[in-house]
Amino acid sequence: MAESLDLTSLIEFAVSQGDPYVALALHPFADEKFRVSLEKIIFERKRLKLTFAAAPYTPQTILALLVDENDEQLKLRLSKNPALSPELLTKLFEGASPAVIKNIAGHRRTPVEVLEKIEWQGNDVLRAALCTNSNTPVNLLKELVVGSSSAEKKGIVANPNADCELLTQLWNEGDKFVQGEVAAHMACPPELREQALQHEDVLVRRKLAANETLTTDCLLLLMKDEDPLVRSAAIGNAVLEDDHLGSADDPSIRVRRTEAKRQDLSTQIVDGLVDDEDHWVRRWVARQPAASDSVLQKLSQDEVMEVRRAVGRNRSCPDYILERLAKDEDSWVRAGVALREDLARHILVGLEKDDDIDVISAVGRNPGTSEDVLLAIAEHDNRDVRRSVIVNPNVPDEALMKLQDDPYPLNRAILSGHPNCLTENLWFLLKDPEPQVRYTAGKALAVRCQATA
Amino acid sequence: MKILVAIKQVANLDDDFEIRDDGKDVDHDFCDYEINEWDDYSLETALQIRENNGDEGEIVVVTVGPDDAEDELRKCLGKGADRAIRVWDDAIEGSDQVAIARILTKVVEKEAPDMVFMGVQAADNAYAQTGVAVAQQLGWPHAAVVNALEYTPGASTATANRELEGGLEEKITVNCPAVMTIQLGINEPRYASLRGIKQAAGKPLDEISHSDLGLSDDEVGEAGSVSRVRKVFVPEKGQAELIEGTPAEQAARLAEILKELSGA
Repeated sequence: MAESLDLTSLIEFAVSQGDPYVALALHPFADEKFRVSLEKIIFERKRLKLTFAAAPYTPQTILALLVDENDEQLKLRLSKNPALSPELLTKLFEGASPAVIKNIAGHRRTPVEVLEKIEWQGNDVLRAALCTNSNTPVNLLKELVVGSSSAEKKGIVANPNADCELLTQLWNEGDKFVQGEVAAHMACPPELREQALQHEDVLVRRKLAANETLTTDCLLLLMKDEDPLVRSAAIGNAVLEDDHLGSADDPSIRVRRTEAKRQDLSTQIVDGLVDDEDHWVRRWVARQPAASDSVLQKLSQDEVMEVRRAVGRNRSCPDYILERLAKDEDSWVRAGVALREDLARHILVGLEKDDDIDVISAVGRNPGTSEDVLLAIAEHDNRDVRRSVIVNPNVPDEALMKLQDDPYPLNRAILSGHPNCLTENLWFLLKDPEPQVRYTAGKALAVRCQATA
Repeated sequence: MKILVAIKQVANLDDDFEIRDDGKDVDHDFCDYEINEWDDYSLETALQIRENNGDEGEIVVVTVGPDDAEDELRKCLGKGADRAIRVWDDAIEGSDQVAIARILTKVVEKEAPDMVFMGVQAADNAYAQTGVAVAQQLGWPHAAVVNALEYTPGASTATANRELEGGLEEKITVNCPAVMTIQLGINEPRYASLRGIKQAAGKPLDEISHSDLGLSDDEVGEAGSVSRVRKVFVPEKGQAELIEGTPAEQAARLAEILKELSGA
């Protein structure tokens, strides 16, 4: 039984155990005959029904049964469950109480047909919920905007379904905050963009500058704005191509930081930012793929530890610099080097002897770490250090067998949900004291059974 | 050496809970149950004292609670307690903190431990009285809100740091045996190993009633209590501001509030 991947055996085991969390995990995988047995376990107590009705992990097969129950407490919880499917939301809507309809009106998965059936006229709560629901269709938004309050307009303007006509109406009727959202909207019409470009308020120009449908010409104008917030938003806009970026000498730290964060900087701009007085700028420069060896060499000796760590995390960093950073006085820098999966074996060997917990955790994750070291880390006194081994792609089975018995519940929870987890581990974890672990192990086993069937 | 640790299974409320029809408590369907957080620290204090004493001595956990409370006792046994006692019968239902203290006092008299540890308070009803009431009924010294403890099994005294208001601490020495109410943060409670949990199933767990302790019906339950719950209710909401508007507007309002609060 222990290593079996037979779904029937697994379900029979779950039924014999009577554990509602394992039963819940297996229900979608079971045939009709077994489902009835599992449902007896899952629905044994009212408390469990309430818990499962609200839980996003509850399978749709169970939620479908709960939707059919004539219980207002259950319906209220179901209407708040973010995972409830559009089909079940439609079913729940039939004959629903005002409190449930309010939740359905605001639910992100409610189908358009249901939203259109909601009688919101004269009901401020329903109106507000529909205004902020990103699923609300444009025709309904246009009805909602008539006579809407300032707060409702702010809900409507964020809706991705709003069209040019609606956005124009909102621009004309709204305050600067509404106008800012209109300027940031993907569907903002060109004439409003022109107005936003010349707008006296920084907020509107800043929101416009972040709009990823802007033309390069518009962005180049915004990069010359007198306000650094606007220039920063423009330079961070992904639409802007690297050959249009500035010369790294903007007087505002905020703008230079945003520029340094981009991953497409030219060598010339990187060279211009390397001596920046702001260490946040230098940190981002140290991560640039275009950083030359000489830039990385310079930044690897930076007085700020975070800058040196960023060099160690740069994929282009050469071994001779990594070798030095692996001996850095600051453990956070050494840990950054130890995390590199491409680290040369001779550097990793040195880090395997480090006694700092951050470095040991990083070594535990590294696929190049030797098996005996991984086994030692799996038995480390520190519970968070032990966890690192679970996610190592080359974790030895022996380490996983030790960790299935780890006293720290989070470690067992991570193990039960990780692809590294052995089938033998999963069977063991079906009897774990933590419901989350048992549920995850049950589901993982069922998936494996199905895959091998 | 014997240390008695009193624990309580406390209710953890759902987001959407309902009050019972009689208006005196939350409907149990809307509660999860778990060990009182303070009691985790009390048990850990006892376990560490025993470990520092060469693993010599006995740790007994006790609770006054219905069948479900056995789960928490088993967890304590899984962590290393040697024995557990659960006191319950229908007459105990409705006991207030004084009646519970009366029951626990009888358990202490029966067990005759060298030291009694309890949590400062229970997370659900937060009376913070049971521990000191037990000490008073026993006529034993006590130290409340203990955040550090020096105690060697067999010693005639123990020295405790007590947490006071305003960041102050008080160091006191009490004669033993004594009752200590333990504060959060005194140590880092351990998790029960799976082996420990399995072994716990075989450890002794006694179930006794109030009459087994020599208490009459008048000394427990509502009859033996000095207070009655009249009503449990959700108070009207206090001063709070729901920040609405666009993300930029919300950020602007939040910045305003922060400036107001910081006096900028």
